[in-house]
Amino acid sequence: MTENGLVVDNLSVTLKTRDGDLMPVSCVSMEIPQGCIVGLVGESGCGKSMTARSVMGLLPYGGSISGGHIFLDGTDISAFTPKQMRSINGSRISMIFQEPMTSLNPVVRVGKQIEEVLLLHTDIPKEQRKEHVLEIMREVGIPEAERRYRAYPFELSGGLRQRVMIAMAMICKPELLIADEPTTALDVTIEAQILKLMESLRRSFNTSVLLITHNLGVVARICDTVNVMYMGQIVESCVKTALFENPQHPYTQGLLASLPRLDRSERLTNIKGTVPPLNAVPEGCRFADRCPLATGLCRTDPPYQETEPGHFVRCHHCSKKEA
Amino acid sequence: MTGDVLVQVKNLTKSFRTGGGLLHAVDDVSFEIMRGETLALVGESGCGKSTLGRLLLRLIPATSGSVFMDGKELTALKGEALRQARKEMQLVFQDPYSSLDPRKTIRSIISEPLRAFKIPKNEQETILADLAENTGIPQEFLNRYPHELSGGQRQRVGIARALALRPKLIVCDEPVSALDVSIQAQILNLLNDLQSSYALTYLFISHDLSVVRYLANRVLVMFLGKICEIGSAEEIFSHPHHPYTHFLLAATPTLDPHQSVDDMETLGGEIPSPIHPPSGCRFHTRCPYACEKCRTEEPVLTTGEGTSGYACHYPL
Repeated sequence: MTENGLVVDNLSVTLKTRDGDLMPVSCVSMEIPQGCIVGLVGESGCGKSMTARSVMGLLPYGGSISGGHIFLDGTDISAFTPKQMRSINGSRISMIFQEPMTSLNPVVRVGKQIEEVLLLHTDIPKEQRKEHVLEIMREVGIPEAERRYRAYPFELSGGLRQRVMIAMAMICKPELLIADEPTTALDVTIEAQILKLMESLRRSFNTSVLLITHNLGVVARICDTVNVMYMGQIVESCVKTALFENPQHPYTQGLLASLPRLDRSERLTNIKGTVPPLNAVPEGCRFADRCPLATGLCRTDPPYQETEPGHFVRCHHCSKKEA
Repeated sequence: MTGDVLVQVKNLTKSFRTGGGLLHAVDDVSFEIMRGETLALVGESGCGKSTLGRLLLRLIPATSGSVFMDGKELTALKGEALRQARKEMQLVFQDPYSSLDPRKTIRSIISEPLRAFKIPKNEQETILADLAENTGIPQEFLNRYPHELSGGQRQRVGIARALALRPKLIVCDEPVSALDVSIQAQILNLLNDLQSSYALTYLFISHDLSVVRYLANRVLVMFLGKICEIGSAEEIFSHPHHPYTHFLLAATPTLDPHQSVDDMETLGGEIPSPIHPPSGCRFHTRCPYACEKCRTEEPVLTTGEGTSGYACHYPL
């Protein structure tokens, strides 16, 4: 286990609902070493956002961490009080969201919104704060920062709003940035700009990034390692190249085969069926009902094993390769 | 592709009055859709692709220009003649959650077009059973309500409803962008199968070039209300002529894990305002190859070999 960066160890989240307790995240473990970009991919409802929110201490009403720990640089932050969480959120960990319009305050000028982070987490005197804000705005590529400082969110395009969100998240130079679908609402040419920006920020500040996305193309572009989630569990975890060149879990293979690609146009194979609801989690392997390889063995819990160095898979049918 | 034209669009323009001035959503656009083909309409948000789709179906009136379908001038039709013409063309929406009436059963949603055109009751049942089978909707779902269905199943209902009157043209407005990838593949395959069994022509509106690569025969690229480039899918994807097409392709994520963010070609700047479009070539503010001529003189769409063309002074 590395000392620096984020370590999520056997994390489970329970959500109380009218239909009983659900477990959107069950026994998730992953590491984000300092300066790495780690992807967390999966389809809607697989628990990827819940995992991120539990790291931030921002679980929705009724949700709580029911097992496991979250370590930031060796300190267990999963037991932090809301007050302790507030002292690190925004300064040591920060988050950017999918929809930059709804996560900015519509009636406050964007410069002031960025400045608020400094007000909360630093003792930089008032007169120097604006200079810091303008500096970070230039750093994240907002043209005419002086003028944009006084703009309201509605006056900015989607791409610029996302840059404002990133400026706000990066101004205290956090150790960890959690990006929840940061480019999903943006056009492709703007998405490319934002991904480039995230890469250059990682290099200049040595920030670790947890990138949550459903888009495997974004993963191929920017991540170092990838975790694939299905129904609250990590089913495969490996470095980026291994995921695309040697996917081992049948779910990962199915996802890759069902994507239309620019370089070929043959018929797509799809994964049969749909994701079952969380109140009807299948016994044993959660993917078994949709899996082409499923056998009777799959009614028992599959082991999470290392099939190749650094390549972990949760499947009965993927065994360790002979050297 | 045969030279059989189903839809012909001539100098179509649509402008909206807004607080900031006149917004030219679609500006003097002309093209053709061949019978049986899939023409994809691509471009970024606000380029006018959805407006163009709606103009074609006459869901909104055009400011000027005309649309011909099977030789009939749609833009000139009125009253009952227009109502009858609507049978020939249907729309599949992006969001399967908001495009189905939550208080109607699936049966009632799919058969609504049949009731509107007074198809006899006994025929309705057979048509409905056929539709459900061909679009993969299980019989028992017909008595359920939309909220009981998943996103993929709802999109199948939207498609079945569009097919009910056996239209010739279906405009698909981002039909898979609200769906998860594994479901997206199911719907794309379904659209493909239906095209041959129902002899359909698609105008497929999308911002996702990988999806377009999979379905389209020809591609039309729009930027700020104008056509940048139109051509066969092979040509557009292998040899784009317009710099905008080139950068759209370069920005589309691929599954190659060896790519690096550093060698990614990105386009600077933002999409300009459609209320005050740039002079000359509308793309010149973002184009790395722009020079004086691009700033002053608007390029005309060439229609080189038959159905393909591009609007650029200095094509790649």
